[in-house]
Amino acid sequence: MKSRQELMQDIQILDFAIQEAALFLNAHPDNEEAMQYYQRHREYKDKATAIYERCYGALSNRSNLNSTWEYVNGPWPWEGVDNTCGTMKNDSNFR
Amino acid sequence: MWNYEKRLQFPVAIQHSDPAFANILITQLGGADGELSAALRYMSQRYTMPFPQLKAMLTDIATEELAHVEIISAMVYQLTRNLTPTQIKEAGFAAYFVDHTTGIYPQAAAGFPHTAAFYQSKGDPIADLMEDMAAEQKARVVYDNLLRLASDEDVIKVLRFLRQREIVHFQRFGEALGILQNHLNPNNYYAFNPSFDMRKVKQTIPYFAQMSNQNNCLEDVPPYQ
Repeated sequence: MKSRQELMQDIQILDFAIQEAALFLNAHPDNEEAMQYYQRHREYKDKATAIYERCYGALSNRSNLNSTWEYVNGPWPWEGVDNTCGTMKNDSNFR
Repeated sequence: MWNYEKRLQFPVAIQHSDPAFANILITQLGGADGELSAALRYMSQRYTMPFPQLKAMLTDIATEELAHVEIISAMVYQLTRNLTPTQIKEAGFAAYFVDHTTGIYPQAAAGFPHTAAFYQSKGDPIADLMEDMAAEQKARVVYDNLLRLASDEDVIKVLRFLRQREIVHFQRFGEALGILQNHLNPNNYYAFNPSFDMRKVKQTIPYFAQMSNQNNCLEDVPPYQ
């Protein structure tokens, strides 16, 4: 099984390929080679995304597949590393 | 990361052009209390929100506001189709027209261009969420006022939908504020800023622990290897 980070990198790579193909296809909608490239990567990305979301939780609030609301869980993408939830640290003096 | 879906959140099909109404409706695109201000306000504030529920709430409401930017833009576009020079002059649309023809430009009803000076990102979640709740109420008032001036049913039904969303967002922001306050000292919510004075806040939410449904994953191997 791939780690969270490995699967995420796959998704980023595949989605970038899709974006590039989509921009090209906007200007060249009849290009068959680009269309095949687009379809192949879209298929791969769908599969990688399905595995990621089943294992590590939803990437979108429209795709929470498991039975709990995992979408809300940290880390959020701007937090840089796979830390635990949010920016909070321990040693609280409050409840 | 964002994706575009080629659809409106609520359908817009306006039969009759009405540049005079477009002139005032545009304030919900580029005005101080408009949808673009709302989207960029929440999008900017979400980074320093201290709890995952709050990050999710600001992210998702900001995203919905972008869908509302699209709805208002579609309305302005449809209200300014097939205009004659006479219509433009009589409707008071000439000032906008000389600057933008019928292009969609984010400005307030009085012509003031959209600016980030309309909103704050304070780096303090109580201050930010209070501003967000006020913003939803102010936008609701703008929709109330637009509905007082609107007569076309094609326009009114969209405005009613958007007005309802302001009320729902206000409610959700209120709940977000409640979640925040539940994690602060009830005798002094202002003892510290949980977005900055991090060491004083406890990470108390086991429900939000890092998830790892490893048992869901079995031996999955991506097929493109």
